[in-house]
Amino acid sequence: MVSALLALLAQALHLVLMLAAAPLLAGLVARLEARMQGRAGPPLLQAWRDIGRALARLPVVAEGTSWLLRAAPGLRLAVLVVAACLVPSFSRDMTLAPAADLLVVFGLLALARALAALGALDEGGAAAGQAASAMLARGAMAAPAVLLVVFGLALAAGGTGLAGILAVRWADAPGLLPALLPLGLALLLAAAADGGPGPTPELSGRHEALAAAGDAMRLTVWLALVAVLFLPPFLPPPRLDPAAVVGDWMVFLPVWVAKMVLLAAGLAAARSLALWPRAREVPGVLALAALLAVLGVAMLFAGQRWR
Amino acid sequence: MTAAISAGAAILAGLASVAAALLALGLVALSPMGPGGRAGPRLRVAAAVLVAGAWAVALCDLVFGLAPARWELPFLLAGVRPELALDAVSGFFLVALLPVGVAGLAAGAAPGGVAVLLAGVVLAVLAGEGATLALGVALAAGAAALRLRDAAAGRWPMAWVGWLAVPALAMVLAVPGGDLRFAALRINPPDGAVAAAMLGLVLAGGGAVAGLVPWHGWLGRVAGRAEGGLLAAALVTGLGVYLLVRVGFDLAGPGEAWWGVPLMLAGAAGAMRGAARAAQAGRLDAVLAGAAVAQAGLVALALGIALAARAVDDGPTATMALSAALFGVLAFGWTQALWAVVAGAVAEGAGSLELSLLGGLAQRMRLTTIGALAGGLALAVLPPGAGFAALWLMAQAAVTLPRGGGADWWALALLALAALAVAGGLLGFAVARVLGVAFLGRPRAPRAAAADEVAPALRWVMLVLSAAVLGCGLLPVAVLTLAAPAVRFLAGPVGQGVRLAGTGWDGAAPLGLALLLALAGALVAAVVRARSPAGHRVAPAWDGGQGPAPAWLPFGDPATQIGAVGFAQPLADGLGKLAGTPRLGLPGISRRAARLVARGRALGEPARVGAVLLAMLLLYLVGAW
Repeated sequence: MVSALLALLAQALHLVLMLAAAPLLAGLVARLEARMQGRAGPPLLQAWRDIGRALARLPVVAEGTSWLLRAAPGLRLAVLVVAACLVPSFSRDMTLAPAADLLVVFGLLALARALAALGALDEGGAAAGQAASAMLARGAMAAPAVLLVVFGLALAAGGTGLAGILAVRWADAPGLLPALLPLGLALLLAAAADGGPGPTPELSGRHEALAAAGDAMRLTVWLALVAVLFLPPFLPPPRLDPAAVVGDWMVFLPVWVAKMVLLAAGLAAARSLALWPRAREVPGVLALAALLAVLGVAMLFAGQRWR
Repeated sequence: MTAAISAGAAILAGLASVAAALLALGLVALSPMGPGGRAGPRLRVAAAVLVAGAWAVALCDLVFGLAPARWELPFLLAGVRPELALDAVSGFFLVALLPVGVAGLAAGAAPGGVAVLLAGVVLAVLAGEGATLALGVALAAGAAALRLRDAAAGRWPMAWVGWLAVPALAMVLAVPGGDLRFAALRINPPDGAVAAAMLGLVLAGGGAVAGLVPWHGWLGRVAGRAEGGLLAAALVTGLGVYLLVRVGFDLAGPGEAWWGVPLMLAGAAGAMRGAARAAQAGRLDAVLAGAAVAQAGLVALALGIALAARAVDDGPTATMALSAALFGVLAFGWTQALWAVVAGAVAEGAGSLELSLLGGLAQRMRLTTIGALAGGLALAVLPPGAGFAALWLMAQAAVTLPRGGGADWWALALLALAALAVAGGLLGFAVARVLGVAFLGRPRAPRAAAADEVAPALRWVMLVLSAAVLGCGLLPVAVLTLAAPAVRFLAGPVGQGVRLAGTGWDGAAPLGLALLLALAGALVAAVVRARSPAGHRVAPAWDGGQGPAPAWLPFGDPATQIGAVGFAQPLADGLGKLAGTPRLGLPGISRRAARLVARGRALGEPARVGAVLLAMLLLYLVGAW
């Protein structure tokens, strides 16, 4: 009973944390990027303020568009919020932990991408259509690399459930620890190639606000995934004593914040150093990511054989 | 016990009479003196009601778990006493395939051909011995050939080579038991060379009927036949999977681990090639034909995993893979039926299936758009759709495949997972492309701008199919429960006592996820309602500052909207050479046979029908012998 309540509390706290972190992270990345390029950059809370301001305006919709254009930003944000609920931050014992599955998380990210693309295509403009098709093509080409990483982790755990994957960390799968490096690199490359510029349809008012919040939430989910899967220290071990559990939270909450800030700094550095892959480099980068993932699986295999 | 047996026998007799009635109806409609298309509606309704009743009966059989029944028919056909049998496997395939037939009868262009096709499917699925099986397959293949007769002939010979393997298979079935009956075969299971020959022939025959690489050409050629061809293809591919399952798992004996490898390779190749075609084809029906090839490949991939896992006594993996394959048969078949109805509505209402002549259908075909979105969720393997459930189940089977095995098992699992990933990504792209180009944006042709909603008679078909496909995605556990007896039977001794974990997509997870999505949507809506003014203002599109289009471009400037070809360009650039469609097959034979077929086409309609009937008779005689 106590543990169920604690799990519910952890889930609620996690949701609030993710909702608050999303615009803050977007602001942090923008500010760090500006600083690295020698500019002052916008204040940290600028993304929050922009979203609030856009929410208060009456949206203008182009003639000849359907309900999908108006519904897509909100639906996409809802999908991403669910994905954010499933990626743990500071505790492995959350209410939704049994339902969290890596395939589902990436499926939800793909669903969000499809919704963004459909919204942009409904507008019927040239630039938005091209950007949407490019985004979808990147997503389709990133799928092998991303899913091979998922499968590498799942092969070690015997299933794609996130709880099982996180439970196999140190002792059980001997090849896993060295394999985390290529697998993590592969996921980072896939995320970078997949996360290029999305379509910018003619949105305004609440549609614009919801789209911006969705972008921020998507970035947060990606960073949280990398943080929980590949950046040690991982999650606290399962405990029975409630006081010990809360004590673990006190330690791992700041750890999670530090990991996210570190990842945001890395992202800003990659962007300002022009390490970001360009459109024509994307297929090559993704092929490299898939190869790295295969290498990771091979290392896992070697570790299992020479136990 | 006796009551259960007699109930099973009664159900079997009922199903058999449905097949006979369908055959009679279809032949009457097809015959030169028959009512043909003019008496369509009455025939259509009668046949649809008949098949729906048969479906309900088969569903009852599965739900109440009746004992297997056998029935020897009291007459001889070409010297063989036909025998029918109903067990969990045939019951499940009837439940999966008959709704597609109902949709075909209700929506298809020529109900006569669909009736014959359905009769062949029911006969083949109920067959208890080799000759009846071959006759059923020949009927179904012949009817499909009639449905698709106008399709270009270039790839046909490959399909015929495959389909002719079915009667050969029926002959090999007689070798171990000295008798064509499946029951005799189960008492004396084949071994060694006979079993291998059986497997090779079922790979050729079943693979050709199911549309696996390298026999997928005929499926690709359903393009141009719109909904009728697509529905026929959905039925025939389901029958091909039934052949693979019945012979590969049931009749060919316990088998060896390598048996799964050719099936996995063909499945992986089909999944990737079909999806690549679906992502780039220029017509809606060609996209759907590619998707059908991909889905058949995914099912074959799961079957290959199951065959390999069963041979090394890995019960859990075999059970998971078989569940995934049977779920795929049902969910993919229903998805294809829904898309076929949608494609038919688009062809009828917007006058074309050419993507570059469509656009903006969401404005004028609202119901069809809802059907397309429901089918798209399933086809694009996105959660919480039926396709994602199938992919999830297959992925679970693949990640447990290398358990305790050597490098070869790891490589096989990696191949399977890579194929799942590639096919999944490409199918998602294909669906977004179809929805974005055909249903959203601005119309690209006057006809599309004046599109009409689907005919009132078909609205219910579309709504019921949409609900069924969404239901498969939200409650895969219901389908898996129906499939469980068949899975237990097919997995053999190693599958006894194995249960699915029920913690993910094999349990209540999809419904929970849908609930979470609804909650999150309500949360977003509540925030928006609290902080944002209601309503919106409509203004002319900014369109990158292009300004209003001239009066002679009533749908705006086509150059400012992305088209079907341009949409696929980034992907085609990325995929490079993979995008082409290299020709597999035997060029010499296929050229000669194409010439033969071309000569046949010059003969005219009655002669062609006669030739196909003759070929079917020949097939049957060879099979019976």
